[in-house]
Amino acid sequence: MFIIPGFVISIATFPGVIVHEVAHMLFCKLRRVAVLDVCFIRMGNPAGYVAHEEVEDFNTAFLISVGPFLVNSLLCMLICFPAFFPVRVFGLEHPLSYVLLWLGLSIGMHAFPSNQDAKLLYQQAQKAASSLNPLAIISFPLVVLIYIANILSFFWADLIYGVAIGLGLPALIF
Amino acid sequence: MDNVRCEHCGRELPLNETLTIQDKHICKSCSDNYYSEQEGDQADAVQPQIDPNICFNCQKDNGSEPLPLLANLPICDQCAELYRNRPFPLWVKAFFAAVLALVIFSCIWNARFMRGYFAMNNAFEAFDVSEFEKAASLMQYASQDIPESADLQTLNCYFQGINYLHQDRSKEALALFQKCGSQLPPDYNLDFLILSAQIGVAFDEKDYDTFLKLALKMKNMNPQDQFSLGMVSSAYACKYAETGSEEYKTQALTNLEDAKKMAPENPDFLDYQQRILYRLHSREIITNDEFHKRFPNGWSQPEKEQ
Repeated sequence: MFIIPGFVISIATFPGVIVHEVAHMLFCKLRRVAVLDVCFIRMGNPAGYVAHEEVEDFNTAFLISVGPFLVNSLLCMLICFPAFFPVRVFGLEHPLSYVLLWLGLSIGMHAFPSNQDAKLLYQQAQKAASSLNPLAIISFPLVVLIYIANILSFFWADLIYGVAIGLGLPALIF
Repeated sequence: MDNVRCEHCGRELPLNETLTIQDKHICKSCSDNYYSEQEGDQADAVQPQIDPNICFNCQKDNGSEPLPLLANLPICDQCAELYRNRPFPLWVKAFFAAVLALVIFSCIWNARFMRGYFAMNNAFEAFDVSEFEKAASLMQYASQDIPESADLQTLNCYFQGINYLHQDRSKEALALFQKCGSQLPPDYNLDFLILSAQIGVAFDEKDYDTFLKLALKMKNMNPQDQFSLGMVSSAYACKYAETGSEEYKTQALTNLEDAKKMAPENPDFLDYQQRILYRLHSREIITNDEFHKRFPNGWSQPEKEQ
């Protein structure tokens, strides 16, 4: 197994870290949740963070936790798309395509919510599930999936996910 | 602003400038002295005091009125609004603007690949319904859009070649098929098409011996193909027209009969059959175009010969 330290991966894929934190903050802004502190990228663990006030509404907590998954995935697809045809269909090599793929896959790789996001989601879901909030109920398996995905990141599951949505999905469509 | 009295030095101070140590208000300057007088580590019992009337962020004094709490801290309305609608830093906005600009530029720059891809797909669809001219035109469009794709250039040669072959322009078709080299997979039947084009060239050049030799080769390659057998019949018919030898005529009719049995109702083959029978009847070798010009409603063998 080829192991690369996490901070090296974060540096190599820094656009993904930035977009991940921007997505958290974006949903905080959209739901008018106070952001007390934010760091978009740094050398350290975690590579970025958003500290926000405690959220009472579960839907808001869900959006803030899962926001990066939606935003990073969407951006990954959008950025990889122009490179899909020359690279995947016609097998043509071009520097611009590789820049797009690096950018798109970097962003796609950081789509998974972190374990901290999963922990917060789980805590909020526990409270909301008592009032039978359907979103809270489906959040439990989602939390498990997030933890599994983060464990599998050790085996490059995050990169595989990025490739799957950046290049695999257009291949299924076209 | 709330004031409290330091229980160590007795001075009155703003609440924010004090700590509570073991539930006693101690000013920050006294805290070190106070510690040294205590036994053991009391760090766990130390808490900074926060004045509920002073904004934790901007230090705005709200007099004796407590401020609303945000994350358990007193925050004034202006600061709360700032936290709730914190602006993205300029460099983050610039980063997203650059990404967006790159995506837009790439979409425009790479649009030709998308056009080429759809043209290629439409060419294959047209080819599947035997619209060879349309297929060739679309494939040419695709290959012009993406000139650096060797695969598309090969496919263009292949589609143009088939179109030429369909128009009885065998020499041009042969040249294009030969350009395809070995880059096409076997199911493209390039060998068969090259042979068909070579047969066409031999026919055009009135080299009927070569025509017959190649037609027999094609029959060996595709013994179950109706047109391969028809091609042999056609070649024998040409040899009969050229020499008048009855042996060639017999061979032509035998092969024609065998070919007909394979698919008796195939209208394309019936048309081909008419041309061969006409050749045997008249000993005149004419092209497909000429035949249809002369006999737009088809040709039937006179009854006494049937």
